[in-house]
Amino acid sequence: MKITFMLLDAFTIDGTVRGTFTLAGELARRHEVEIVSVLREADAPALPLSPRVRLRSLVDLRTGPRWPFGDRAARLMKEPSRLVHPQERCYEYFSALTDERLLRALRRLRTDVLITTRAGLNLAAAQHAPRRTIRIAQEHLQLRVHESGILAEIERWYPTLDAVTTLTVADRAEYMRLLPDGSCPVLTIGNGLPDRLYPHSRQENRIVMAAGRLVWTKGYDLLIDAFAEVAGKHPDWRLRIYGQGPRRDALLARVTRLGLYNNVLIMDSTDDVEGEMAKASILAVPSRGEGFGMTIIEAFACGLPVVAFDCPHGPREIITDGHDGLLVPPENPAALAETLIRLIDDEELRHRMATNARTTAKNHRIPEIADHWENLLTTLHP
Amino acid sequence: MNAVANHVRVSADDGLLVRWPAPLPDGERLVLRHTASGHGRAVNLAADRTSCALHVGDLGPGTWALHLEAGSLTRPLLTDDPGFSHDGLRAYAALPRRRSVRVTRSSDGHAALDVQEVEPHAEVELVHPRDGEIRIGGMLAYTGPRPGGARLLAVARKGSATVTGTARVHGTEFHARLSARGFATERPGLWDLWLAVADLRARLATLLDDAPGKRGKVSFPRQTVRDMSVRPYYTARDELAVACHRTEEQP
Repeated sequence: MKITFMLLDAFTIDGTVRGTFTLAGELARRHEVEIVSVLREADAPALPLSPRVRLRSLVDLRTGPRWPFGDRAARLMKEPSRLVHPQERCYEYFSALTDERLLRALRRLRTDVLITTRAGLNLAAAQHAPRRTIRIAQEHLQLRVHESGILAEIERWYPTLDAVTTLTVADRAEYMRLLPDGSCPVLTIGNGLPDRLYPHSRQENRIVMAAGRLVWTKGYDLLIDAFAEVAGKHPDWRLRIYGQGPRRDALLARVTRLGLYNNVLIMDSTDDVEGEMAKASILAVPSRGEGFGMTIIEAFACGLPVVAFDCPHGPREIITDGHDGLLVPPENPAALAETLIRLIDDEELRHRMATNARTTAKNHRIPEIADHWENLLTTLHP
Repeated sequence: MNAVANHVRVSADDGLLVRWPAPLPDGERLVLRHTASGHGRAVNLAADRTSCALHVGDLGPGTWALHLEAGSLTRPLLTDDPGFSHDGLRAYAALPRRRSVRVTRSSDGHAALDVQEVEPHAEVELVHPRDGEIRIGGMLAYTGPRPGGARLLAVARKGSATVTGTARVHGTEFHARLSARGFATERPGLWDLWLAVADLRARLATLLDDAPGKRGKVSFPRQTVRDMSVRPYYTARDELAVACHRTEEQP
């Protein structure tokens, strides 16, 4: 079977790219798999990709000898996209040029299965991919993040797809409510952990770790506020936040304003996030919303208990409260601080949760996740 | 299946200890290979084949990859030990030494030793810029306890000016204070910080926290004395320095 994944940008570091690369690599053990990236901004992807997976791109944004790639392309790139709904959360990355290339790629597609990974691409596939191709829309975010205009498009076009997958059961329920009875099946298949050797935290360093894009949704402002309490009680504990994003300067200023410059470090994102996790003792997930929570299962694999806000929807579906992590009332820094302090104070609890976390992680291994995909593909493409 | 070591650590007396959860097959040896020169050293496992110990304090500088060798077959030593203990590094650095040996683990689980020539430095662990002072606490690294009087020196990067602060050393622990007022009468510029204790001048730096690249990642508050803004910062080499600007120069 030939399977094509379509990503907006395979050359960046985020949960969608990480999840797609892992799944594509696993499926490529048995199938012909390619990834089509609408945009290309680097010579090679930032995240590791199996050599079995072919990667191609539609619009090359690399500067240098290729630039400019022709007056017409340069002009089209400045024009807004008509194909993609303006309420697509990454609308600014689309253009008349991506429209042209995307339409051509979809119409010329020679593949058995097309798996698209965000609303704009899912809608384009529903309308323009050949009907002989099995078209599956993956929701890596959550239905509730979409605004009303694009929601109407989703309601209209997703029923023409062959399947929709969500990362959480809660999100599946929301899709089931939106889409009419008898339209395409909606399944929950989470992201998978790459099959590799994970380092294991020895719970010996006084470090709380967090990792993700430095954006408002990730709630690092709330975590820093909470850590002011933690550092008051445990001045020798440190918080390390790994990530990049538009909130970096504001977060750094917050650390300075709260006098936490000896306790909080905001580090660049790392290509060995598991290595850094294993040097820490707790993972904090202060998100205001979390479509899945890839870092939670990565931390579990590294033997870290996770303290997370009980936000919609990912954390509560992955973490068993009190067993492999602790859930905290959402957007409540005082409660987050109290819970972190509780776990810092109780080393025995940390060790117990760390052991449980590693067991939980086994359920999220990519071979198990790929089995769910194989079942779905076999049903749709007997 | 490749045997995964669950302990790869170097002790304060430069002993490398590797342990496995189950005995390795008969005939396995641990090999250290200097990646630059290809020079190697092979060691037999302990009798129960679950551990291997050797002294590594005499290894030459550079990266030494760890391998397991059985007959003509060699494969990288895999480990799930993250290899970093902050307390372990502090204990290691509390002794006088000219060379440091650290265990590293690559993202694919390969263990190696990173051997570096080191000079004594003053490891900064706390910085408090407030109340007209910069207070700094930490430990002397790679030199052992240094009895005797101590001073904190801020040396202008351009020119020869020096601003002197006070310091106390107990064992390897130090506490130092620098008055922000001392900079107000000097020319604006950058000042490198040194701890002078007995006959040693040790650069202030934060190197043992396994978080290199703190420049721009840590922002200390500025204090203003008359029209001079005084602010500690980390350099590109994670050394602690002080930046002084006239306040009207601030953007």
